[in-house]
Parts: sequence; C-alpha cells; structure tokens
Amino acid sequence: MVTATRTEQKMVTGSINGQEVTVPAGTVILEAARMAGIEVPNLCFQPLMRAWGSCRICTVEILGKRGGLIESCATPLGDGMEVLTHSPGVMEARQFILQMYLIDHALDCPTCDKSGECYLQDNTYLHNIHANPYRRPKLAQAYEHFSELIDYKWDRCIMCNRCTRVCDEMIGVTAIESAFRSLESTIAPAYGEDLTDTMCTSCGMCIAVCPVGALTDRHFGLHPWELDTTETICGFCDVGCTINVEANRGIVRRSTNLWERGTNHGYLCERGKWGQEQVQHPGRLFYPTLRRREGPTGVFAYETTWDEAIDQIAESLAHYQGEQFAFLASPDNTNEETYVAQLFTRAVMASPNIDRSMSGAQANVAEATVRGLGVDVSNTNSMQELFSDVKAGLVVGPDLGATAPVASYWFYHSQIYREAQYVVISHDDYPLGWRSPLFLKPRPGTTATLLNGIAREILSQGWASPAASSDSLPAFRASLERFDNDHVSEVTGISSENIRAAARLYATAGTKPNTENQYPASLIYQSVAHAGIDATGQSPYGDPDEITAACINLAIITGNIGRPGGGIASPRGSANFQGATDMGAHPALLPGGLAASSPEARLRFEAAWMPQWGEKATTSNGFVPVRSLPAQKGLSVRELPDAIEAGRIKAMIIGNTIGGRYEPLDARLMAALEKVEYLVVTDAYAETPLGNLAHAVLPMAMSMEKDGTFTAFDRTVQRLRAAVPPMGEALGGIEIFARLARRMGYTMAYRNPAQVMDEIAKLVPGYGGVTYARLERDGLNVPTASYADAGTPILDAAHLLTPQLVSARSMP
Amino acid sequence: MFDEVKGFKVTFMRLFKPAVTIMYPEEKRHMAPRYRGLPSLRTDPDTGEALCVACGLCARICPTSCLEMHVVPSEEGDRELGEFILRAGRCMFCGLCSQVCPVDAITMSHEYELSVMDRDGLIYTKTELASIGGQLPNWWEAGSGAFAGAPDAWAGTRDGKALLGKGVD
Repeated sequence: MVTATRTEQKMVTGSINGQEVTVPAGTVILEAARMAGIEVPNLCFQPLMRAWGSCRICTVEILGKRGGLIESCATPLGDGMEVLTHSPGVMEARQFILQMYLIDHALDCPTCDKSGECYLQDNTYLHNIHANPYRRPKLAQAYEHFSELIDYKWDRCIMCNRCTRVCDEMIGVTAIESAFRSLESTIAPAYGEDLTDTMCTSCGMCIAVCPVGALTDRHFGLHPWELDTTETICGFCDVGCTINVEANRGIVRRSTNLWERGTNHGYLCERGKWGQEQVQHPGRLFYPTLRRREGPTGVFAYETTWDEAIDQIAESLAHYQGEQFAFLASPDNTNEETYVAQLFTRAVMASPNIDRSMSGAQANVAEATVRGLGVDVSNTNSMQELFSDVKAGLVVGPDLGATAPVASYWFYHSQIYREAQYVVISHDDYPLGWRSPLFLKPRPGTTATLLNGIAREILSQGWASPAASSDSLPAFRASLERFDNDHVSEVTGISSENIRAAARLYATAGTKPNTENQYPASLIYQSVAHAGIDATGQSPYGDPDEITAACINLAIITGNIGRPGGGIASPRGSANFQGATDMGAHPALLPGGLAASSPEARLRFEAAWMPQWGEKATTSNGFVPVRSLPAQKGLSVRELPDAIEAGRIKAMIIGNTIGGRYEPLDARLMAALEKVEYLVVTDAYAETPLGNLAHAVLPMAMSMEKDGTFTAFDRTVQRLRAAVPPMGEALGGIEIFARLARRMGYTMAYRNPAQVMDEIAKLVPGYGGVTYARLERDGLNVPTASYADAGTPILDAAHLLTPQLVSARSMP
Repeated sequence: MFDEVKGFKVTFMRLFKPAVTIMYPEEKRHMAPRYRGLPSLRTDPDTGEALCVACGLCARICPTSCLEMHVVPSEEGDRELGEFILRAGRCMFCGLCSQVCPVDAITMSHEYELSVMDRDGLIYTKTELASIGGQLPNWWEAGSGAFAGAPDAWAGTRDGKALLGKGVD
C-alpha cells in the first residue's frame, strides 16, 4: 500500500484498540489501523488520494488529555497515541452523522445501481441505523446527464468529493468540480457543459470511486449481486491493468475496479472501463468467412463452418510451405497464442518469416531499442517505481494520457506526492505538460534533435554519470559535436535556457550530486510508437527510430539504466507487444530471444517440436513434414511489401489488431497484400480493411473471452481469464492453429492454455518460472528463470541488457 | 336398520339446502383476497404506465428463481423493465416477490387456472402478466381492507363462508 505520506522513513508507534502499531511517520490513523487489520469505516477516504475529511464517518477517539473525537483519515498517527476506533462515543458520533446523511439521501436503493456495494448502505447496516429521528421531505432531482456515459443524481450525492479528487489528482483533467454551497452544492462540469466537450477522458473513474450511487454508468442497469465477476487483464493497451469483468447471462455488463490490485492499483482508463463495448460490438465477426474471387470484379464471400474453413485453408496453405509463407502475429493476442502461431510458422510451415503485425512507428521503435539495449524491451524498469524511486523524468511523444493512460496517472501522483519533476516534450497539449516545470514543443520533426541537444548539454555540463563512460562514449560525444545549445535552439525553436533546464532537470533532478548515487533516478517515457506516421515516414515528432535511440542514449549517459526509478519505457500500444516479442514473433529470434541462427537454440526447440510430426503430412499435395527449423533470418514486417511485390511471399496469415479495425496496417503493405495469392486473416471484427482483402477470415476471441497470459510493457506476466464465451463461433488462437496444424499432419495436443504455458516454461529461458499457479494472485516480472526466481523488475547489464550508445545522426 | 338411517342423516339434511357444488367452469370460485394465485404485474390505472421500477428485487428474492428480469437503462438515466419472464412451472406461489416489491408492482393475482397443454405455456411474459394484473383492484381504491383482512363482501360469498367456517356447516 502506497500512501501520500509515506515518504519519510521515521517510524512512530501508537496503539490502536490496545494493539501496538508501528508505522512510518506521517501515516494516517486510518491507514495504520488497516495495516493492523482494523477496518475503520469511511466514505470519503480513497487510497492514493489526498485526505479530504468531509464524511466524518472515520471518526475515532484519541485518549488522553488532548484527545477527543477526530477524523482518522487526515490525522497522522503520533508517537504514543492511544486510539479507539469503536468506542461508544465514536459509535454514537458515527450514528448521528449517518442519520444526518440519511435525511436528504434519496433512499431509492432498489433502483440504484450502487445498491449492494454502496458504502452508505454498508455503513447504515454496520451502525445499525434502523430509524431516523430527523426527517424532512426529500428533495428529489432527476438524473443529470454529464455525458453519454456518465449520469449524476444529486439527491444521492453525499459531497465527499472523491470524484473531483480522482479527476484532478489521478486523471489530471479536473473535468468535474464541486459547485455552489450548502444545500445547493453539487458536482458539475465547468459551466454545465457536456463532459465530452471538456477535458474529460471518459475514464469513468468518478463512477468507480463514488461511494454512493450519485455518479452512475448510463449503460449499466443491473445490481452487483446479479453479476459474476472475473478478474482479468485489460486487452486494450500494454500497461496491463487488472480489471474486474462483471458478466451475466453470457454478456459482460461492466468492468469494475479492484482497488490496490494489479499494476494499476484498481485505477482504469476509458478503454479499460468501457472495453466490454468493444468486445461485444455488433461489428464482431461471428463465423469463419471464406471469400472467392469470381471474375475480375466479383467477390463472393460466404460464412461457413470451422471444419470447412480449416479444410480449405489447410489445403491451400499446403502449397506454400517454406519461405513463400509469412505470418504477422497480432500483438493483441496472448503469449500462448503467439507461441502457437510462431510454432505453426516455423515447425509446420517451415518458414522463418514471422513478425508482429505492427505499424511503421512501432517497428522503428522496436529496431532502435534492439540497437540501443540489445533486446527489445518496452520498459527496462517497473511502472511501480513511480511510487517509490522516481525523482525526475522525461516524457516524450504523443499525449501519455491517451497512449498509456494509467501510467500517466502515476506521473500525476508522483508529481503531487513525491515532488517528482518532469520535462514533457510533446506536440499534444495535455495536463501533464501544463503541470510540469518544463513543457517543450519543438518544431515538427525536431524532437530527436532536441533530445540530442539535451544529451550534449548533459555531457558538456558534467552532469553525466561517471558509470556511463564506455567504449562507445567518445564516438557518441563526437557525433553530438554539432548539437550545440544555440544551434539546437535555432532548429527546434526551444530557447537555449529551456534546453539547459531540461538537461539539468533530467540529469540531476535539480539537486547537487551526492557521493553514493551521483544524482537521483530519472526515467524516460517515450510514446512515439503511437505517433501517427504517413507513407513517407513523417510524423510531427520526426523519425521514431532516432527519438528512441536518443532517449536510450540519455538514459545510458546519466547512468539510469538498471537503477530503481530510472530506465527507459516505451509503451507500444498493443496489449501483449512485449509478450509477442518474447514468444518469438520475430524474424530472427526464436522464443525467449534465442537467435534462430544459433544451432543450439534451434536444437532446443527442434527436440520439443519435431516429434509432433507424423510420418507424412495429411494434406493432398506436396506438403512434407518439417524435420529442422529454418536457420536464416526471416522477413520483417518492413521488408514484407517489397518481398510480396517481388513475388517471394505468396501466402500469408495476418492476425489483425484491435486498432486494425478501422486503420489499415501500413499503406505499402496493404497495397502489396493484393498480390498475395492466399491470405488468411484472423480478426475479431467483420469488414475490416484487412479482412476485406483476405481469402479466409477466421473469427478470433477477444481478451475477455479467452484464457492466457499477457506480458505488460513493464514485463509483468499476468493472467488473462475468460469472463464470457466468445461471440458467435469465434475461437482462441491456440485452438485455431492447433486445428490447422492437426489437419496438416502436425499434432498440437494442447487442451488448455496452461499446457502451452508449461511448454513455454520448459523451453523459453526468460519464462522458466512462469506457471498459472504463480500468476493466480499477482503478476510476475520476466525474466524469471525458475519457479524459485521472484522475477526481475529492473533490467540491467547483468540481466539481458547490453546498453550501447548509438551515435546520433547528423543534424537536419 | 337404524344404522342405515343414521348413515343417511347427513344426506337427508343436505337434501333441502342449496347445492354446495360449484358448476365449474361455468361458475368460478371467489378467491380470498389474499389468495396467492399467479404473480402478475400491475399498471397505474390513471396513466396506464407500468408501476414496475425494474429494481429486480422480486427476481432476487424468488426462492425458485422462476422470475427473470431484463433491465434496460432508460433515457432518463434510471432503469426500465425490458422483459419480464415468469416460469410458472417453477413458481411455488410463496408471494415473496409481491412482499418485497417496493412499489406494489407485482402482486399475487387470483388467477388459478394455470393448466396448459405444453410446457411453453407456463412461461409468462411481461404483457401477459400485465393483462392479468390489470384485472385486479388497486389497494388504494379498494381500501386497505382488500389486502389487510377478509372483507365482508367476500365473507358473504359461498367460498368465504366455507373457508371462514360460517354458514355452510
């Protein structure tokens, strides 16, 4: 449990209900009591947010001369303090307060969405309020529509300001605030505007934190007791938030929050809160669809059964065994599915051409990361360090509040409670920039130049870490020769003072060096993988490759690699991008990052995979069992368009991403795909640009519909659980490729994803310690070598990384 | 001989009294006001609107889970009854649903003719239940007596007499 007040390490000892409690100084009594296992009832207290003290239900009694009744959520436990949480005086006070609340509370519990999980209801029962001596006519008011998702009912509101606090402190947008005074006081968006016209991100956190039913989800109309809950992982970005999916009658009704659980501590964003509406979208693909081209223009598509689809796909793909086949695995799919997909490509189709299906910017970031760090990791550190170690940081790229929203919440949190300072370099106007000491908007295309300018400033001012000096440093220093402050300022349009200030803030966090650690830890979050990129590779940020390399260089020269609170993170977008890389959806790397060119690595996998082949293939043409894995490097997603144009790739399977529903992959690749002789697409949605090109489209289960594991961007492997059966006849990827492989003569006898994970744990070095049993309660940071290995939250040179300064390209 | 006459005593006594037999189905029984027939849905007689606020408590409390409520969020922001299904084959006529209803929208009707030729007929939908409920008197019109106790009007009927132990033997 992380609290606002736990920065000091001095400990105090008090007694709560006669029980000795020792907590860090500054811990409020309520938190201290929770640590001791004593629950103090409350309405307005929300973990991770500032104390408000408006509800007064958390009143406790402090004994002694200067004691009395006091609110425990805002009073720190003092040394020698004696606290009673349930004394008769306290109970009487709480009962009185609750009776006061109940005078004007609507008491329409039967039709209130919150009924059953309402804090006011719970407290009323808990304090045995069965009659209210205070009465007056209820002041009923109709629902106010804040937006098409959020409703507000004034007569249920207890004005605890949890919603406005979360909106301000976590989301950073302050879209709603409390307005007016006394009996007229209300929660309202500014000027009563519709929330969609304000800064509101529609994250629904106000609904989630509301202790009563004042703020409600307009799309939800059930009671909590009617719902079955499943704890799972959100499948819409790679932060890896834990969500609680509540379903009934086979339909997900809402996603709720599990406070203090998971990497997100229960907080969610718009995609997590309303993700089920994407999963249960009427545009989902329900049945396998085959498409026949008849004549030059006529295309005839028809829905069919799985058996027929698998039959036809197997017979067609069998013509293309070897290097003329390519696979683009969707990074939205689970680790197990990606593993099976690359197994299918390598061991069944005997092709080395497998890559993640990703945009140009994502591919750029991935390549630059490999150059700089040696492996493609989205985050060298854990996101949780924002709560403990981060002192300063650099946030580069598109609005972090939109690309990795829950990560951005912790930035606000560390700004408010840990006084961390950030330099934001972005073209998007967003609150993190406004709230940071430096918000830099370089001219279009000059972000990398600015970062290199900052690097040069750090080196020339002597703020670099002594630990950073390596063989590559002189060359790097030389390559920065032309990035002097004035020149960079001229090119980027950022004043030279600001460049120096940014360099100082990132390298030193505004402090003087100390002997131990030179400077406090600083991290870098760069989200340029999300930057829109057009056919010519242009984006407002410039080349993502260069920006990524510049960010990694900065982290290396300041000694922030392999250090708590340091590191470099690059959220990539798709939920399991990191996992897809780890599972070998990579043209040159087998699962676990083992080079396909290495005979030992191939032998390791051949020994496990090849025995599954039968004597001969069961398709009707020249398809043969594979006896060894391809050794050469396959084609990456960026090399594919040319290879297809040249006729080297004739058949493909592409796993479409969630984002691919509207946006085609990449203009060049989409144009080239027309020339592919046989294209199979696994897709969750019907009529997508990619699916419309395919000869066969197979319906794929989405994240709330299947079991498996996701690897979040900070390498946390977490358990994905099925909450509802898949829509229509959609299947999970394991089953699809297992059926296809079986039809072609290769036995994939996986009965469930856990079996696949067992095989992964046996074969893939970094996942050696991953089992479903260990993931049951919490995630696990890979690499983890064995079941005894607790995981590696921080990567450094001893763990995977080979940090390498990459010389900056010449100045534009 | 005497025993035979004695045996016919009741027969001869009934001979001059009106017949107790109800000529069902031409003649229907009068059910006690609190008789628990098929649960039904009532509408507001003035506006014709359903009284149900779709809170789902009836479905929740139903011991046999014979009630199924589908709720749709309404335009106003609160909830609306989408579909309401009563599986009468499972209903044990305990009346808990009508007791728990906060707005008296579901009440036990006097409907007892529930035999059907196939099981599908035992599934009642919202409109069917509303048409049964529409025939019931409303307690605010009938006065509290209609539901609070046995009214005299009913007590005067043959069924009432029979059940209350007055009149007929």
